[in-house]
Amino acid sequence: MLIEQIMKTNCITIQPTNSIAHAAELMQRHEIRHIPVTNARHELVGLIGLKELQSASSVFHPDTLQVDQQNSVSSIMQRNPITAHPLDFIEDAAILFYEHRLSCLPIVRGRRLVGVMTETDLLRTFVQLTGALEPSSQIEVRVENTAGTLAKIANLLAKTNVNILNVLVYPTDDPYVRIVAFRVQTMNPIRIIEKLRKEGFDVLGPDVSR
Amino acid sequence: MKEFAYIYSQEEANYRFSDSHPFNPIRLDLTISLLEAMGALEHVDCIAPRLATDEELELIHDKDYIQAVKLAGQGELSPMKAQMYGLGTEDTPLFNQMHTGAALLVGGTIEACELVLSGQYKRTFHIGGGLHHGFRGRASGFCIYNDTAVAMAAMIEKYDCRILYVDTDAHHGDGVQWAFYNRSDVMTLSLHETGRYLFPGTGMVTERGAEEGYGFSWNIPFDAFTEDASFLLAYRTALFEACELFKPDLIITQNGADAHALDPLTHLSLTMKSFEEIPQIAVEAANRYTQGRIVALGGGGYDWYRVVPRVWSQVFAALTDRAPFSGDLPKEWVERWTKQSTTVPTTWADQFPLYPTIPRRPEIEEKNWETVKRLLWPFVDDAKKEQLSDVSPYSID
Repeated sequence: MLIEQIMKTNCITIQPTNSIAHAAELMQRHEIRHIPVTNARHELVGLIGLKELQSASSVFHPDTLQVDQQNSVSSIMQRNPITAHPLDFIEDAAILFYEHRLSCLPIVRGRRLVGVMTETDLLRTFVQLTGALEPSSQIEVRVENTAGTLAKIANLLAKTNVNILNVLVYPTDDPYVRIVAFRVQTMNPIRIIEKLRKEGFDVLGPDVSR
Repeated sequence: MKEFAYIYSQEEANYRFSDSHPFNPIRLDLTISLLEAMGALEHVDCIAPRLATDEELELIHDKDYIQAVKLAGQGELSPMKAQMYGLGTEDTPLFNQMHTGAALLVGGTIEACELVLSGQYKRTFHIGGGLHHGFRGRASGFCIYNDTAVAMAAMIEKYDCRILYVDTDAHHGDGVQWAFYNRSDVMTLSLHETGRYLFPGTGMVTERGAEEGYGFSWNIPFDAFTEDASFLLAYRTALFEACELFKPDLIITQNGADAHALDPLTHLSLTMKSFEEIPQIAVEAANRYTQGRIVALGGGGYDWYRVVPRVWSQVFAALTDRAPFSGDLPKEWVERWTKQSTTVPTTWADQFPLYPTIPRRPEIEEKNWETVKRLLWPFVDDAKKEQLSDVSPYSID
């Protein structure tokens, strides 16, 4: 999956010469935490977030608050923020987010700003990837980490005429064991579970003791 | 105003997928015959359901979907198209005249609501209703049309009223929730097993409604193996808070019987004790907040003999102002159905032990109560928060 599939393209921007007060007002009005700063050619020149806003004035000098708020955005913005390209993989973007503790990633082509991706967009995408938003039952199978296992299970499922919405494979403490989680489009997964168990698969389910 | 009527006719058995399908109309037959054997149906008004019109269905469902269901019931829908609408699947296989079969259940629920809101009856029970998984343009989870959503939309159009929908089926009431997700004239409260493994996977506390409807979708997902005390504590607390905040004109309850420990599809551990109290508490809430107006519906429940007839009869008991039925089940009923199944129960209460002791009960009780608190937190004041935090979630044995 590529960034261009999940980024926001109609994003709010601000100019470096605008006031800090204006940035604060934009954030409040649009309920956002970051604004990319662009010049007249729509090129990215910086990023301003809540953190920068907080550093713009001091609570110990309330008398200068009004004045501080009239300073330009360029005086406090982050220059040369980390950016990504619309054709980057979202996995790569995700790594940027946690390695650099980002919460907002401007997306550029050359210098031109084409979109914004936030941690919220990323989380929403991961929730969608789990398939949890469509009506379905989840079947989890503990399997050996060897070739052909997934195909065997999928073959069994195909015979039950039930549609698979989603497959996730996740690791366990044991490197040779994985858990395969299927989201299947049925309210009655009992037949499938019985079939898998009959073929010797370790199907997980709610457990009274853990 | 009369006190109570139930909506039923044998034609409702036409909503039938196949003999082996879990959602089977034998459940209606079992319940009605049990109530009959109890003598509970004497001097009680029974009203036959009518067909819902296309205009009514279109309040919730897409035109092309209704058309597809009609064609499917005549065997004229191509398998490819059927799949698009969730029809002809393992969950909702095609059957003859499926449109009329499904539209009759919708009509029954509309009538049940109409009879109450027009002031003819205080309480009604449509046992064949409660198909809460039906979507706008797609069949899902054994449900073709969403009778409840259609009926609520129709009632709001006609009476401009506020409806509280309470769903105690073990599965999340997703179809009803999404139909009214951004509206503030319907409040949905669904209590269900978590979607960790169970269909449909949704129903998290964080699904609270959107836009105008924010705060009007309430969800309590219970851990697997939740027992009576924990369930009832959450149910009573959330139901009365919802009434207090929302001030409904009508309460509609969906009485799925599949949260019972014996149900084959789910993993909750409720016993008949919960199912005796659930409808009694609902009637208590109606008496306090809606001048007694309440419409009860059926729903899921896949242990046909052991669980469903007793659960729905206890709903009937509450709606007819009785204490829960207790003691032995009528002999004639037990004898009649024993011919078909070896699992027919003989008493109203369950035979204990129903399930092995659950080692992590305290943990489950703790977690469930945290869920209730997380649900209510944005909507209650500090005094209430203190009060909720003081409640002990542990049952004492």
